[in-house]
Formats: sequence, structure tokens, C-alpha cells
Amino acid sequence: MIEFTQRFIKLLLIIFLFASNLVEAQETNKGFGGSSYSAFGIGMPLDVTSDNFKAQGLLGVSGIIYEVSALSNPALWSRLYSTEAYTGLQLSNFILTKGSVSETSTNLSSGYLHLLLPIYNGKLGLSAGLYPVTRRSYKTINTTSTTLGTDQIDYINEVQGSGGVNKFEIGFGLKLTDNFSFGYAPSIAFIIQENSESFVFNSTQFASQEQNTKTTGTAFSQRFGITGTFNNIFSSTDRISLGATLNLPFSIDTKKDFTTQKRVEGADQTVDLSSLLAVNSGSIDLPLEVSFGLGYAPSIYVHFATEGVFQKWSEFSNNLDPSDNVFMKDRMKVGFGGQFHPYKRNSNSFFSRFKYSGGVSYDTGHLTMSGNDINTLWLNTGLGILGRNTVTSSPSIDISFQYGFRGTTDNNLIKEKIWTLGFSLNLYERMFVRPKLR
Amino acid sequence: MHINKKAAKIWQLAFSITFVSLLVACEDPGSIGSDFIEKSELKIDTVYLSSFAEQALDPYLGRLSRSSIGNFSDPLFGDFETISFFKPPISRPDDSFEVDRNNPLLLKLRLHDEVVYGDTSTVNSYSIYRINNLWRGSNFRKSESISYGSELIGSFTDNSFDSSGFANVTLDGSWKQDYINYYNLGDSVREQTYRNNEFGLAIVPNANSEKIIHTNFSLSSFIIVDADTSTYPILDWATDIERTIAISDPDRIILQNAPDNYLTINFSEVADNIESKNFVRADLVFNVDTAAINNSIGNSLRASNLGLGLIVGPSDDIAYELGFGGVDIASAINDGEYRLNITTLLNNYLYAGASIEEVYLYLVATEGVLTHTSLFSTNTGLGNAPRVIVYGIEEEK
Repeated sequence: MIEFTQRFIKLLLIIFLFASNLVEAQETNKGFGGSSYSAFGIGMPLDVTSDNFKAQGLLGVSGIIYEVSALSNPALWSRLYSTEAYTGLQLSNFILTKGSVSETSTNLSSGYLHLLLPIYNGKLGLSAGLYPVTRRSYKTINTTSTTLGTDQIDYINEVQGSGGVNKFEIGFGLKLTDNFSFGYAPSIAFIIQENSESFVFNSTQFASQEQNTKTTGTAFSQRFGITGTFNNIFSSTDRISLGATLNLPFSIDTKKDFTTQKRVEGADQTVDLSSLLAVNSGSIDLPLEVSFGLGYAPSIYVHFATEGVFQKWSEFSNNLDPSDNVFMKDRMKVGFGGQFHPYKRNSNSFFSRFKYSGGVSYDTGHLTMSGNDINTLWLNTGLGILGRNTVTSSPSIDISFQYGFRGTTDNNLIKEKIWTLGFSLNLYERMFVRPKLR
Repeated sequence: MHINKKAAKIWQLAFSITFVSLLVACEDPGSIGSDFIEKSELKIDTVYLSSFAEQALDPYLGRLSRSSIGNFSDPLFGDFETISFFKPPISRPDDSFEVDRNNPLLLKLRLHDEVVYGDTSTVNSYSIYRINNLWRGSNFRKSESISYGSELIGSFTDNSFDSSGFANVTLDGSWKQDYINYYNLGDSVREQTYRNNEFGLAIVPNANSEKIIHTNFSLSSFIIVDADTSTYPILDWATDIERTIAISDPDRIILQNAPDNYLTINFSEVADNIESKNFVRADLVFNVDTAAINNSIGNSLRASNLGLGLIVGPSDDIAYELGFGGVDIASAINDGEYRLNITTLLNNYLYAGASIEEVYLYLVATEGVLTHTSLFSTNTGLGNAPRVIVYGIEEEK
């Protein structure tokens, strides 16, 4: 009982640490830099999945992997035998090229938090998750000048964008038959999106200025998932798994606040200038999303899958800032990858202690600019480090490495070369299973 | 349950990653992508000033740090006649100390020769007479006047001042006899009797004076030669200024220091005009008619001023505020214009409800120095009219 309590406290502590960091990241995304294309709409759409799946270029929808539960398909939560917790973070480096000029920016961000609890082992599981749906992360610095009388005053204008749409979700997965499971996950979607600008002058005649625009709002959203698994199709050891999810469109009522710092009555004060905004409230319509996956595992040591997601961004609208709506187009992302599990052989070889992943994916993007689709080609690989050398339900750390090519330099656009190093922590505890007396 | 070493390492790694994620953020962004991003820029707007009015002032002219003496006809700013007057001290070392009638009485007068208004090539002479009426320096104002007698008590010229700026002026005549009588009275009555019955001495320029000098009574002293070796500061002093306005030009605002006048400005109209802007700076700008100033005085000189000042009212005693109060916002002239930063003033009004309906604009100068400026008024075209230049942050189009 003492050991159980200690483990439970440890789990809560680590979840708390990740959660506090994650919640902060949902709001401000401290590590700035990132894709310039995230400035449009409500930011770049994110595929919420752990690094185990990212390393394969997959989403985790198909359910071909049993060892790691996926956030992406609620139906898979029916398979739980132990309490599980997942979280992760990623470090991304962007090499931006426009014309003959290149710049580099780096971004460190938390990903998601996912807790799973088996209610009825292998048949009914509950899930709670906090994860980003879209993310803005950009920062630019421009130098300009003005005149004060006959003096030229230079100033630096630094613009930062952060935040996006996030979801706090509670759902369940239910095993309907031996082969099929169903999942449902209602959630509170909330947007916290900030755009801050600072002006720093090279003259004491001007006080530095900071202004901040913050968009907030909440909405109800929901998604459904289904999965089917079939064993012994072509051999006595193989398995096929199919999965799909449906994420219904929803609308967020938002309001926009505009604040700045002013020197008033001898002290620096935050002044609300929201009345200066042309529009300070309105709805943001997020599109329908459908994902699908098909996986095949010839044996327990290897599997392959192809998965994809379709998002109808052409129906996105932002009444707060409708000027970006024209750039939106439907997005499709398709990936193919696989994973090799030598650790299941129980070999003592060093290289047999890991999971090895690889894959490729292609994202058509959700933006069309100057006639160019802002698409991305991703090359993915990764490694899984097992905490215990067991076949199932082993604590692990997954490391993914992605290298991507996004956009184009045509028509004065930006081409981005992106590498991303991701870490996911997967924790398991059979804390609700009483040990049998011997 | 057994927790093996690998599991422990995973826990350690988990904590490490968490703390690293809290602490690390690397970035080196630039301007790429700025075309995609809604950003703002600084834009300059002009709001012309309409709610202001010129006001006359009856300034305090006593106990100023400079006291002017002389006459000068300024083609642009008018004719000036100024005399300064003072009351010597009556202090002595002790009650038994008396002076002999043969001991000379000296005024050691300090001149600020760097501040001259008029024709510096001329040499003025000055006469000292007894004053006939009671006055008090601390509340002597321009509207008051003094009268003085015709008996010459002392005299000096511009050449009487040494290289240190001091002139020793012998004070004699009936005033000396009366002063010694007061001086030798007992301590119990001496000072009071002196204050009540002796009105002091006026320093009057000769009629053909073509310049105005500025003396400093706080640095001047009174000496009884061969008797008391101490020097005593001047007891009281003031200046009487008579000014005749040369030209009344509706297109110009003439501001003059004693100060004789000022502008009251109601900034609420300006503030309401720019309330819809996120401004980072707002300047109140007055252009100076430098051509008229430079071309109107020939070889003569004008004393310089310290610029324009703003004091936020209302005030019960504007003359005192403008004469001795601290200036809230000031600007020296730069390239023909005064530019007063009124950002805080407008912020205080817009965001803290401070009063800006009555703000005083005046010419700031060293106390007692006669100086002026000529500002373009609203009728002189948009380029020179009084205005507020606003630097607002607006979304880049």
C-alpha cells in the first residue's frame, strides 16, 4: 500500500510539473521563433500525437500499435490495462529563406498532456487530455525611422505572436465487439492568442512602448473515433488494424483586448485601448476534420501503417480578422511509416533494447498564397527507449527527429527548412490493480 | 513492487526535461516574415491648437535674482524704462557699536554684464535718489510704482564696475545722516524705526540711456568703511518696469518675461481629438518669428530666455506660479521652434482624469531678466500655426 501511494504521488507530481509548464505554454509559448506562416488565421494546425507516432510520420489513428496509446483516436482508449500518462516537448529549428536572405529561429514548446485510466480492463477506458489544436509562434524585428523636428529617430519594432486554439478534453473508449471499439471525446476548446509589439527608440525623446492584443474565447467541441482490429489474416502472427475519427466543426465566440503601457501620473500603467479596435468580438469557425489509418503488423516485431487527416479549412472563418480567410484551403496530410520492435525478442544485445521508427509524410497545408500551396514534406525517424524490458505496457521515452521542407521562395514567399527534435514521456502504472496474494 | 534502475532513470530524465523546458528558449529572429504579419508603425498627425487665449499678468518684481536698470526702445517689443531700488541693511556687530559721521557708506553693487538688453556700445550713468513711499520687496508688483526725490545720494557709470562685476558706490547726502542716526539707536528700536521711516534708495538711469543692465542685489552688499569690517546683505529690493507696447500684431503672440503675460490653453479639445490614437508622444509646437526678431534690433542685443514653460493649472496665484513655481514642462528653442512634450499631460487626462482645461504657457527666463519672444499665431498659415504633433502607433497599411 505504501509503495502504491508513493507511486501515485510520483505520478501526480510529474503530471503537475508537466501540466503547469504545458498550461503556460498554451498561453504564451515562451520559446519564440517559428514558422512565419503561423501568422495567418489562428496559426498552424497541429497533429496531436506523441513522438512514438511522429517518428513514423503517423498520427496513431489506425491502432496498429498496442504498446502506446494514442490521443488521436478515442476508440483506442478501450484497450487500457493500466493507468497511463503521456506528455512531451519539442525543439524546432527553422531556417527561413526569402529571396537570397536566410534567417534562423528556434522554438522550444511543450506539446500535450494525456492521462488514461482503465475502468474495465481492456474494454472501457477514460481519457483526460490538454493539447494544442493550432499554434502561432513567430517573431520579427524591423528597424524604421521617424522625425522629431529636424532629428531622425530610429526605432525597432519587434512583433511576436503566440498561442492558438487548445482543447481540454475528457472522453472514453468502449470495446463494442472483439474486433471493434468506439470512442467519444467532448471537450472545451479555448483560444488564447496574443500578438505583442514593442517599440524601442534610439532617442530618450521617446519612451519605449509595448502593446498587446489578446484574443480569448471558449467553445464546446466533440470528436468520435472508431477502430477495428483483425488477427491472423495472412498468417498466424499478423494483424490488421483500421481506424478513423471525426472531429465536428465548431465555432468559438471570441473577444479581443488591446492593452498598452502608458506613463500615467508618474507611474507605468497598463491601459485598456480595446475601444480603438475596429472589431473586438466575433466568432471563429473551425473546420471539420476527418482522420483515417490502416496498419498491418506481420508479427509482433514490426508493423507498417498509412494514415492521413483531412481538414476543411476552406470553411474556416475568422470574423475578428476576416482578411486571412481568403488564404485558407482544405488540408490533407498523408503519411506512411513503420516501427521495428527488437526488444520483444528479449535479447541481451544493446541494440535490441530500443524501438526503431521511420516514415515519410506529405502535408498539402491549409494556406494558398499567391497561387502557391504552402505544403510540407516531412522525413521522420526516431528511437524508443524502454523503461522495463516487457512486451506490453512498458514506461518509455520516445525520441523523434523530423526534417521538413515547407513553402517556396516563388512569388516572394518563404521557404522553410525545419528540423524538430521531440521527446515524449510515456508512463504506466498498474496502480489500480491489486496484487494477488501468494 | 520493485522499481528497477531504468525506471528511476526515466523519472530523473522526466524531471530534467521539465526543468529544461521551463528554462530554455533560444531565438535569433529577423525581418523575414514581416510581410505576413500585421504590425504597426509610427505615424505623425497634426492637430492645430485653437483653445488658447493670451492673458495679462501683474508679475511680482521684488527680491528677484536679477534687477534691471536702464531704458531701451525695442522696435519689436516696445519701450522699456526700468529702475531698481533697495534698502540697505541696518545691522551692526553689537548694541554699543556706533559709527562716526565721517565713515563712508558704500553700496557694493554686483552687475551681471553678460545679460544686457540694448546698445552695448553706449556707456550709461546712473543716479541714486531717496524713495518717498513705503514698499515691500516680497509683494511688490508691476502695477505698483514708487516715487523718489531729487537729491543725489550717489552715482556711478557702466565703467564703475571692476573685472569681478562689482562697483563701489558711495552713498551720501541727507540719507547718510539719517541712516547713521537710525544706526546708532538702541537695538530695541533701531530696526523697527528704520523700517518704518526709511524707504530706501532708487537707482535711476540717466534719460539718454540706450540699454538695460541687470544687477544682482543678493550678491551685493553694504559696507561702512573704517568702522564695521563686516559686510551685510541688502535688506530688500525690487524693480519698477514701465513698458510701452510697440506694435500690436494679431498674427503674432508676444510673450515677455517678467512675465508680463501668458497663454491659457485648454488641452481637452486636443486630447479628445487624439483619444482614438495609441500615441507614444505628443508635442506642443510653437514657431518663432525669427526673421522679425533678428532683423528688428540692429546692432543691439536682446537678453536670451530659457524657453517656453507649461504649468498645469488652475492656480490661485498665477503670477507667483509663473514667477517662482516649478515649471511642469519646458522647451528651449531649437531651429526656430519650441517643442513641448505634452505626452504625460494628455495621458494623465485620458487615463487618470487629470484636469488639463487650464494650462499656462509662459516665457521662462532667469528671474528679473527682461526678455521676449514672438510666436506665430493661428492666422499665420498651417505651417507655422500653434499645433500639437502626435506620434501614434497605427496598423501598417
